[in-house]
Amino acid sequence: MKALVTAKGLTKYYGRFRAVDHVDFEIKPGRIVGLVGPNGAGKSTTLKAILGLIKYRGELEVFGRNPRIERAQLMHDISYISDVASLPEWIRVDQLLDLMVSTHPSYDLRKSLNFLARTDISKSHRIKQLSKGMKTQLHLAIVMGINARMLVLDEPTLGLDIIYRTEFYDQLLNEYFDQQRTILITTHQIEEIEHILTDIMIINKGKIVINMPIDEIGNHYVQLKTAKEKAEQARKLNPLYEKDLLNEALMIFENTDAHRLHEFGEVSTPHLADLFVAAVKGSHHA
Amino acid sequence: MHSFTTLLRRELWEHTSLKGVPITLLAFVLLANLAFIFLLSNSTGTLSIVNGEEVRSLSSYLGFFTQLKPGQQTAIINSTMITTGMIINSVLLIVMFFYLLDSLYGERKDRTILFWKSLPVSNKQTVLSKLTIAVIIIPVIIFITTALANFMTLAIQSLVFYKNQYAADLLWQQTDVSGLSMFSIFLLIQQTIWYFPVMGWLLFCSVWCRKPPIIVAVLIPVILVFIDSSFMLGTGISEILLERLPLGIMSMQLGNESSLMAYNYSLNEQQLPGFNMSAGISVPSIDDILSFFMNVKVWMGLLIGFFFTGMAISLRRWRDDSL
Repeated sequence: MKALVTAKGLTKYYGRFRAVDHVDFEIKPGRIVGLVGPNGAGKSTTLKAILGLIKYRGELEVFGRNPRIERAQLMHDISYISDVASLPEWIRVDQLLDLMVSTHPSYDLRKSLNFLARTDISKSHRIKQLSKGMKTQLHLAIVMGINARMLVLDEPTLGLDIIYRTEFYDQLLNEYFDQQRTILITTHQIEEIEHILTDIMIINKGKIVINMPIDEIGNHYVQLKTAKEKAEQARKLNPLYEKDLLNEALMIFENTDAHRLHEFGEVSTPHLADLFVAAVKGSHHA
Repeated sequence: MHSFTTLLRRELWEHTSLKGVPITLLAFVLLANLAFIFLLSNSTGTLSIVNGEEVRSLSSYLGFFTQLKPGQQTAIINSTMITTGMIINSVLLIVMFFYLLDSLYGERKDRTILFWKSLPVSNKQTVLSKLTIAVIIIPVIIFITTALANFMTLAIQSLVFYKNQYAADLLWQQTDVSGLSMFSIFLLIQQTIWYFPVMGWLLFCSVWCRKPPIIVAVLIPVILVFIDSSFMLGTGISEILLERLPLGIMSMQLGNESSLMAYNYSLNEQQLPGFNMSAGISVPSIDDILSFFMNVKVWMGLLIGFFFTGMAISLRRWRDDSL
């Protein structure tokens, strides 16, 4: 299946600072990809390059187009939410809907209105009158109406409480996503999206340190919980990451024979949050 | 095209001053009219000396007006209306100045640029929609506001005439509606063409600057003029910049060689005693229009305006939410 997004040697400098450092990746259709990393890792810069918002070096193809020169055309196929702060505060909800109808050729107003009918948002509200949670709902309602092939979300739930965060991702999964659509999400709060992802890309210091489908993680990474007295021996197998628990040690191994680890304790597939920390700290130490 | 008109509507939604200022100006004209009538109606002393006679009351003022020759009556009406138009024009040119400076800087300042760029709208469409507001919509607003203000003045004045047993239709008969309209339309076109390079420069500064663009937009021309005149370089840049800077219709009427209009401010046979102005309105001839468009400064200005607009389109491509 042809990739929607292909990056080869994608690099971005801000002055002398290298925000994205020769990264290669592909995003295939029908996937929910999490681009995660700590603050300043290069997530938003990568997204901005995909969306044609910044200059970059290297090759980047999105829907067969060059985003540097074809941003407006790309936006027919891509729907983008940066965060709740990007909606203009002065605009009224009805004006916003009017704008979407006029500018997006494939916008379905009914879908947005159906979604909004289940919220407390009125068409006469101005954005500045809405709470952060309501703004997110409105943004999601807008996204529902756009018949885009790919949805790009950059920290979409930043500053929201846990109720709205959970609701946002539940609605996204249940009401927006289907096998024809692709979602690319960046966040540094991996624990709240790990249950919806099909693929993970972990970026740190401008480099992609892990890039694979979620269901392949178990083939490459193994988590071991071992008693403290056995930890020393397990450590000889060169874990990628280790952290102390109450009376145990938790270790994550990369490309290690899982059968050898069974003698030290409980072996399992690592949680994304632990893998994220392992990948970031691992690349930090490298 | 549909999306372009929506972009224009979006500018009007966002920049409420484009509606608010004309409404405020109309309210001001209404109040000024009412205050004028109130003062004349309640005066006890001498308010003015017109034609050697004291004006002590509203009826003496109206009496003076009705005794004038028709041409002189038209002259007074034209003078009043043109003065109102000049005030409205000058205020809305200031609104335009700040609108253009904010139009592409504001979206970065409040980070909404990420939302606007998420729409399938090109940078060219976005920048041109903002330029269209300055080139077409604001002149139309100036024309409509001036027309409404003058209509309101005429309506109030004719009501006063009627209440004081004078022929109210005298005012309407002596008002040169078509002459004034043509005068305003041609002047607004000329003004827009003349200020086009300034508009392009302001748009460019709005997208270029990472700090409030007013500083750069004003400072660079000031520095250029200062260097040119201080060191007597004789580049001519001072003259080029200075003749584009003054605001309002007045600047183009007072000896500006590129003036399309010939609104004669010099005293002539229609000079009215007590009113230090004349009232001749002449609509430009084909020769006047041709000579305006044959002026190399007009074409240079248009080229510079298009150059800065092109630069603004090109620069916006790489602008994101970082200032």
